[in-house]
Amino acid sequence: VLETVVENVQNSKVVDDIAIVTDDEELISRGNYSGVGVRACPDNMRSYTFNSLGIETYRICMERDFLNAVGLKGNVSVIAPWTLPLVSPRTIERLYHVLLEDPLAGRAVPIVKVDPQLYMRCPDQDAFFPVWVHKGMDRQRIPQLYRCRPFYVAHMDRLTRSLPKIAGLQVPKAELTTISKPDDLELATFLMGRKW
Amino acid sequence: VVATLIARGGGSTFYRKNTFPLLGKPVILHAIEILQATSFITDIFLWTEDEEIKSIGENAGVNVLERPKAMVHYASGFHTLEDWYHNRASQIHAHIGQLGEFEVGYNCNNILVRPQSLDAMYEHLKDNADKACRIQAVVRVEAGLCLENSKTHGLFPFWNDPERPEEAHPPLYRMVGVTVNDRVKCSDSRYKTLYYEIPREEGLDFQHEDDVALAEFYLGKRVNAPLQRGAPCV
Repeated sequence: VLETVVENVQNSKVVDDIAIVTDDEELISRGNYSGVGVRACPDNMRSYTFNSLGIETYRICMERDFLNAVGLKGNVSVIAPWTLPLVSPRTIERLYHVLLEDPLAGRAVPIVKVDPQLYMRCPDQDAFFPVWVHKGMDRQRIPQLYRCRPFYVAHMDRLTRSLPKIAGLQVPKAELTTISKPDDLELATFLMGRKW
Repeated sequence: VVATLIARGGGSTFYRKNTFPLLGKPVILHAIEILQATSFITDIFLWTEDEEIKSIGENAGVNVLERPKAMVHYASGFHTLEDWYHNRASQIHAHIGQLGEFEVGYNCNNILVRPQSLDAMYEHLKDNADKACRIQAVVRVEAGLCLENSKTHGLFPFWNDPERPEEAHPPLYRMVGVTVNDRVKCSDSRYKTLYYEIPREEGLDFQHEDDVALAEFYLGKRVNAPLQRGAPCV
């Protein structure tokens, strides 16, 4: 899975330098994986939750310091979690172009449509509470929501200099298939063998 | 027990979706076969204006009801939703001499719901006959969402706390277009809707070309997959 993500980033042809950052001691001791240098994740970032929409100053500074600490000092950075092996090289290239074409964008994020009519379950009550629905309205008229994952291309200068805009790029649903349990590998393998 | 499928020939998100072939079968036929495989549905009705869909329904052995062309689109202005209901109901009555004690409302986008889940929803309705008039299927939705600002085109977080991992967000649910209704109690305010959570892959809402690959994966797995029941949610 990791090798696929590395290849996707390399094949995007927009990346000059690439590193695998991990807390996995076996990978760190190898020093190199799939032709790419492996670097230890700084201790203070090991429980950090990357989120494409996080724009608080402390988070942006932490991410900038993280990139500096692992020796990736480019002004534009691709953050590619190993759990997202289906984000294609073409999508990474298009995300980069979003930043080129929109001078206000600090991050470009792949997004997929989410079906509306969402409810939350009321704690300790036998009921659901509507959070994104208008009862009686055709669902196609409900404002569209999207899902994003912690995969993005970031322009660090823009993120630190102004109130950042996060730009979305709609991609096929399959591209944001996440590997979070062994069963997901079967789905990802099936999807990789197909055009969608 | 009557099940009603409402299907049209067009499709605003995926043109002619209902006749699109998935693993060699049109989408609408997948939905029909799910209903036919339940243990409790006695009569299935397909309300459509489309000749190809009618033919698929007839070949599958379901009762095809004529859907007036003026009742194909929501908000067309020609008819109220009550008119829609009465049009279906009068035809169902003409077929079986009654409307059925129970009714399954089934959106034909739901091509992955297991018949066993529908059986379990029906059992859940009967087990709660003293308080429930309807069982509504729900499916868990992952958090980490966003909305696109129509003016700036920037993304705005929704149900998305950057400081928490996705799995630490309070769960969201989506209503799946599948209900089992007690026709009489539905108009009695002493009874209420109960919810039944089905597994996530059963809740796939097939409505975009994007969904083809996912649908084919899960349909392909289904042949030998073990039964995975949902659980009463509330």
